Amino acid sequence: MEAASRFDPGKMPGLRWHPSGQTSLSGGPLRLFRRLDALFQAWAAECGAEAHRFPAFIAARDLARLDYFRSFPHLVTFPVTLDPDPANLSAFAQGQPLGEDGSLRLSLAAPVREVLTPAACYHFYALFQGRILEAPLYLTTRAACFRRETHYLPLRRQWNFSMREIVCLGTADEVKDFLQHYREKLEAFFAAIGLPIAWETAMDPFFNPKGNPKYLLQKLDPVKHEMVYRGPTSAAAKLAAEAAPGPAVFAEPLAIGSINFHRNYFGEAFGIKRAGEDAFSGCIAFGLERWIYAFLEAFGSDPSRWPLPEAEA
Amino acid sequence: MHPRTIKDALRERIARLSGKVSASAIADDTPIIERRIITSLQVMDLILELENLKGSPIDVEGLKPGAFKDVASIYAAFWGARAGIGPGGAEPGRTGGNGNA
Repeated sequence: MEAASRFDPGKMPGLRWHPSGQTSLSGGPLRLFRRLDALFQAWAAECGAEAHRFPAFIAARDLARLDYFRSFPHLVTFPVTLDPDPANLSAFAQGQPLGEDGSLRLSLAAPVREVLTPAACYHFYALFQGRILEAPLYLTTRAACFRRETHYLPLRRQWNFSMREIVCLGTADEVKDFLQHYREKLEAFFAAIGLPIAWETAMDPFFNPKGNPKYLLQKLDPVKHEMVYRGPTSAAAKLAAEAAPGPAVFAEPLAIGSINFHRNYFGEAFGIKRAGEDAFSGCIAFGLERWIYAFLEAFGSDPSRWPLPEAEA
Repeated sequence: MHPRTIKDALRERIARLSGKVSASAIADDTPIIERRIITSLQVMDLILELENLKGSPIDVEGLKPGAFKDVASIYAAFWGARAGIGPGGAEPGRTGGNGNA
């Protein structure tokens, strides 16, 4: 493995960081993005997952059925438009639309009924609402996802990031078998390529968790297991921090994906039935920018060293 | 109280809170959270019921993963030989972030 402890995304050719929490990719990083997603799609195809492409917005009504706004108000991002009244539009246009700090001085905003997608798989539950499933459903999609955070880091923590998911809707056993199959597949993959990944139980980042019974329920019955990458940067820096006590500055472990068992939460919320009961669901989620970070740090920027099949053009 | 009596009392309370199943349909190993017999909206009420049944308060912060998996787990956690310790299990991770659903 290439000694990559000096990996700095800010100096990577083909990667442009926007301090708003977004990256632009070209050249090598874009090739890596495509090859990784091609690999995920190939894995999805193995279970016959049907591919979908969804729009950037999801209806606020659909997210409200999941109690999303109470559970994650700190993460949500809204597409905002101006109230179309001509006087309101004139007030905006003829004033100083852009302030010196780069923020827009909005006049009256129109009602917000849509939300920028916070997780790729939510679209599936809205799409299949009210359906009675004669067989398990296997699905896949990639979406640009948006989660507001307190701070951002290139590739590691972004406001706008890319998520590929492989999803199963079925009975509890069908979903568990699906998740177990991919868990084993991923374990074998990480071992074969030598990427240092630990599986860790995790919680969703609830707002005010102590006041949210959903947090308590997740704690009592963990449903999220993350693929946590610990690369040379974090390991070397941690050793340095231990050797020289003081304010430690080292990369946090990085969750590059997760396996999630939703129980029948989405099936119940959207009236999806399987075998006479609310359907169960589960997903495998891959955060593409985080995978890029892990691969560039672990294997370097030379594409010939990436342990990935070549993507088709 | 005899273990069977306690477990039957647990079944009765879980069924009453849930409203989805009868007490007789809840076996010792029926996964009450996984099957969403008990949902997030009902879990605090279940804790109150357990406190009443037990006659002492429950430290919610100290609850461990798996403690409410099924009737047998609840009994083991609060009335069994290791009552107060709870079934073992990994503490939740702290690595949640935007790579996840």
